[in-house]
Amino acid sequence: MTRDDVPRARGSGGAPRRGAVLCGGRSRRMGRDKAWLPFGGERLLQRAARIVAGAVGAGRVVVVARPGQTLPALSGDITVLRDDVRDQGPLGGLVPALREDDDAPCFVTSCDAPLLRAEVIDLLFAALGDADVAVAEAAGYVHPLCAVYRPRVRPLIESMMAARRLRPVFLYDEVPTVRVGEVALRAVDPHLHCLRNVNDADAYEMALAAAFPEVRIELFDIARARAGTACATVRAATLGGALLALADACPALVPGVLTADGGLAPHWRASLGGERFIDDAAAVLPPHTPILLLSALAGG
Amino acid sequence: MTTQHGGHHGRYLHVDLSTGSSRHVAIPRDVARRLIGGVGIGAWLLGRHAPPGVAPLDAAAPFVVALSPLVGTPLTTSAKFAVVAKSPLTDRIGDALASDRFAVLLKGCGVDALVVTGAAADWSLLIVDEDGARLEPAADLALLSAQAAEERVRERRGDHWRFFGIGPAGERLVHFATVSGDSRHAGRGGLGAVLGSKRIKGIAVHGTRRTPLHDSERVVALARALSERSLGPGTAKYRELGTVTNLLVMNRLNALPTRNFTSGSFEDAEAISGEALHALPSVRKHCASCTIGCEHVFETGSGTRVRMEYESLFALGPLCGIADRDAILKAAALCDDLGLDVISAGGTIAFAMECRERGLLAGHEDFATVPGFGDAEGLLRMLADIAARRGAGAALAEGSRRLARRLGGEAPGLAPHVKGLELPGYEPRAMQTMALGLAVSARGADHNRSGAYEADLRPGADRFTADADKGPAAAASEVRAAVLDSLILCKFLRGALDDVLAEGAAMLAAVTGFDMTRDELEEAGRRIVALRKLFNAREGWTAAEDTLPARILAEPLAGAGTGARTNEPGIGVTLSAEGLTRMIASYYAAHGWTDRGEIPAGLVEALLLTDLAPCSEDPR
Ligand code: SF4
Repeated sequence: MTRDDVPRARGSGGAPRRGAVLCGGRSRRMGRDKAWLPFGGERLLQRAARIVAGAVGAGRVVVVARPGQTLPALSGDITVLRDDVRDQGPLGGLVPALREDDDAPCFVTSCDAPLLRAEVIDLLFAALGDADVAVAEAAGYVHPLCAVYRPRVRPLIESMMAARRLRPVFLYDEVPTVRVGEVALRAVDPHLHCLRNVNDADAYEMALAAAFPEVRIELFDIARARAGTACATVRAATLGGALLALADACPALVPGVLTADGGLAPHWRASLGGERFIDDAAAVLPPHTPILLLSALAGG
Repeated sequence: MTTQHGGHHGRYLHVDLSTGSSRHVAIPRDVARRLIGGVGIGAWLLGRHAPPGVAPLDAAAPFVVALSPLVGTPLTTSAKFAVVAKSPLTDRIGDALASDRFAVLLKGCGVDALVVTGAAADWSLLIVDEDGARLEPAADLALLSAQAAEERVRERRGDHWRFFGIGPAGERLVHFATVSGDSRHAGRGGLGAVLGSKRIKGIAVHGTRRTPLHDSERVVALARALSERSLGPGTAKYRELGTVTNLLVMNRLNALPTRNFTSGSFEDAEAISGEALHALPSVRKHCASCTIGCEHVFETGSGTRVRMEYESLFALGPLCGIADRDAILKAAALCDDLGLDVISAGGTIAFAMECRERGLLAGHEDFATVPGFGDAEGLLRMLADIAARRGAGAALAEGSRRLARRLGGEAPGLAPHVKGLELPGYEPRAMQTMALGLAVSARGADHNRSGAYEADLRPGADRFTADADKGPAAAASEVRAAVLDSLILCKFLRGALDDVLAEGAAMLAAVTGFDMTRDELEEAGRRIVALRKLFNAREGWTAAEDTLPARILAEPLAGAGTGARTNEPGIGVTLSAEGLTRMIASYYAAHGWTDRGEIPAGLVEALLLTDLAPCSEDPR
């Protein structure tokens, strides 16, 4: 690809950008693969990839996953790299992410920061200047997976890893690094949501609560019998988000009532408060209105 | 292996009980092709044999059992038959379906239908086998339930015989008596009274003649694929919970008729719901030749086993204000034993209950025993009184329309019927496409000859508004139902069919050898809808009959918690007479009928109905 073919980034003078989403971690505290956690109609990995692509350009995102790791469906222009980076600290994922065939700086994040914003990514690229790294820093902590790296730091990272010097600050001490502080970050992300990783169920719930209102879903006939409950509460802004969250919370509903990706199975209907039936996953849910999930086969 | 023709014997058996004679009459192959079978052929035979204006319980009125080309094939749910007669409730066409090996054995007698006219001198059993028909005395079966009579007949004649007959209500000509076999009922329209009026306790059949199949290998392949699909998600609801699970859905949609249509939801719905029933021990049963098995039989505390469906649950529960699950089970069992249609029984009693509460029974001493809403003991008593035509039961045994006429005043506007047939469990104001389907159906308020409720549950549909665009949806659903009811396949199979018409045409083609296409089958559905309508027109139907109870068109929809609970949809919604008229006009137009709902001569011709239309003279 010639330089002119490289998609231009938003902001920062149009210099080429790229992004990487790391999803091969162990998800130990969550107890399940975080890449698959539903979040507003998409899975965490899908969401992270979408947000990053919004900031660096379509076709400019790679996902770094474990060999054999099953991933949710991703847009066709995303490249998936397989590398086992478990137990190698945050730097581990950078090696495959900073591919040598592209000299554009790379924003690197993990899939478990669902509240990341494109504005934060823009800010880090703008701060990079001639440095090798621009990294977010708040309350005295650096966030190596909310940072932009130039690919030329890759050999150094590889040698640090060989020497088991796994702490990112060792890298920042050795290469020109811009630390983007709290004041600058808060200007684009007042609550520093972008730095919240969902490492456990509580953090996940808090992230959902920050992003979406609570939605009550009333279950009828075999949906109720299979889920073992008459009612479920999820966080979502859209019908698709609510049903995906429900499919995740009540796996027994898949595939008879819901599809694995949170669609309605054939013969199933969703009604907003019993007033009207909807099937558009993107339909925005009005406040305080329950969703009724019922079979279209109503004949007696 | 293929044979040229299949699926039909090409003849029906006409039994004249008054003379004791019977004869085979040909059914031309092109008639079978045009009307398929079931309600299609049944409507034709009714029109051929019923003298114009005949009283439904007159000896001259025919009682028709019509089979279909699929009967006897391995296609799932195909062991069904249609019972067709002029309904004593509506004075219009009455048709009802039932499932049983009775269908297979009757076809084994070498006929595609049975027409019974006249009346026996004494209570008799009509025996039909490959040699024809004859009568046997049935005094020993008097006042037995249909099930007990069936057991007696099979003990006597052998277990390979099948029986289809009436209980005490049919014998006493209750206008909503059922005809039953193997605990399945041809429920609606009082066809049991028609058989009773002929002093026939039941029909016992046995025949082993096979009907050839045009392409047996293809039929077997289709049957295999269909059976497989019948066990998939499209029928899971019926298999796992049965239709009783509809109660909470209807309640939540504010579409559950409650206390004679004074509310669309019932405050005690959870206590009597399908889910509450499933807390009891239950077993699942199948009709003959059915892989689905939607029938859930619940065991009561006393060990009685009761078959329960949504319609019995709603009609004997919320419609009468009954919140006692066990009492509803008892009432349903009683209806089965007595041979009463649960919908009309519940509807008529609920209507009487409201009349009592409004003081409309004051001064009618014989109505002193009519219970009030919620009186479970009173409900059970009243069911027994209806079947015995005892006290107030004698008047209620004629259905809500006749009862209302007798009471006069505001009562007729409160009676929950269309054309005399009591409304099923769909609140018309909360499901306005269904309201249209109920208003225009040829057999009266009916949920089986029209599946218009499905249109109300579609994304984007406005179920609370009487849009003119509801006409085509109601008409199309009626055509599909006419096809299913003529094939005959169970409606609960439709979730497993991608395209009822295309797949139905393929089955028919394989069974009969007709080069049937989807379009031709759809046309046949239209023809059958029109034929039923032509029968009604001959019997005096006018567009004024295509309506809903006055209260539905005058009162806004209420809910169980109006004023207190706020999450009930549709509170205050109305369905005006103008709105209904608008929908009916669009429905007539969708069928190509005139704005007065008549079928133009040109359409009769175009539908190839000219020679099939009901006779205009007494056929005797
Ligand atoms: S699905 Fe139910 S009603 Fe239909 S044939 Fe089977 S058991 Fe009978």
